[in-house]
Amino acid sequence: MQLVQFGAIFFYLLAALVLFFSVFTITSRNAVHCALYLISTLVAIAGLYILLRAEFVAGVQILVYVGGVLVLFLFVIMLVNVRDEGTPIYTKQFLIGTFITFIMAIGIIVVLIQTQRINYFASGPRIAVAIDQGQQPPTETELVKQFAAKGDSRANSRKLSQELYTRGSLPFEIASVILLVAIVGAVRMAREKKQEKMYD
Amino acid sequence: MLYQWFIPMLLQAQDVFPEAAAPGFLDRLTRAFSVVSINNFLFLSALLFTIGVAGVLTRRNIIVILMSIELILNAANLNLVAFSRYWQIQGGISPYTGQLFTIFIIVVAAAEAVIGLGILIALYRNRETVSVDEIDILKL
Repeated sequence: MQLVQFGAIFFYLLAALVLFFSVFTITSRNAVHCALYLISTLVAIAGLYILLRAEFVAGVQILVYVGGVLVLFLFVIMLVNVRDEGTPIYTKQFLIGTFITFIMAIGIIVVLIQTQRINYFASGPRIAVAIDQGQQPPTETELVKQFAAKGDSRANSRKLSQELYTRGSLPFEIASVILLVAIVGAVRMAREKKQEKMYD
Repeated sequence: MLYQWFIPMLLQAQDVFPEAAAPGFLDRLTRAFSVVSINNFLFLSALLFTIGVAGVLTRRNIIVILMSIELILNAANLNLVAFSRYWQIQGGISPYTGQLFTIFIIVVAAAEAVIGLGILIALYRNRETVSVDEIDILKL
């Protein structure tokens, strides 16, 4: 999986946007600003999905997250009186949280760099088959030239729907039950005492 | 550590332009950054996950904590979609399973946000606060 030229440029641009906006998401004092920065982060991640040739997932990301979940967040922020967190930011909780996060980040990044050093992700079945047959194994660039999907964005939806209705049909049904439970639970949670008396 | 890890990491993608020998450090550096492989997506995903965990641990507003959980779930989604693309190129058996998992994670995240915000509204009606420091009724 390699992106070159404009793909690489767009990757670095979108990665910078994702990191920038996500940092602002967790550091803004105003909750509405947090929600708006989170919307920007999710749109940039949808752009990364398009770079990875997952167009259907990018569309679902925009429709469900930005169109549904984040609008819900904004509604709740407007319903609930969110006052500014008056306490100073450098408290004990902030220090401990930052420390734990720092340790965790160093752990993850060391593991990733080790993985990259031994070139763990560079050999898949096609390379292994070539080695078994005594041929010169193809480089990743040749694999990309040979097998990368050409610009048909409908192919992704077709393959994904085949996958969804064959291998994933049982999780599909379970997901619909989860959504039903979420609807019922949200209505039950959010109604007032007056409404409860009226309907019970 | 620099010469052991970071420089080989940057120079990993040399086989893209194998015809030209790399004369200088700057040239090799630009050549390394001109190729994006799966490892770049994994680094981005790890950083996004870390930022989400930092948000969960440091903020006090419940709404912002829920938003940080959305960030964590998006980091996992990015990982899954990147591996899906990787197995499409490398010839895996069913490479679209990663995108399938991503769809289900988005469904579960939507349900989780709806339930969390419903609980939040019920809580605000009873306690008049959204700060996790003031919701300590379970504490002895």
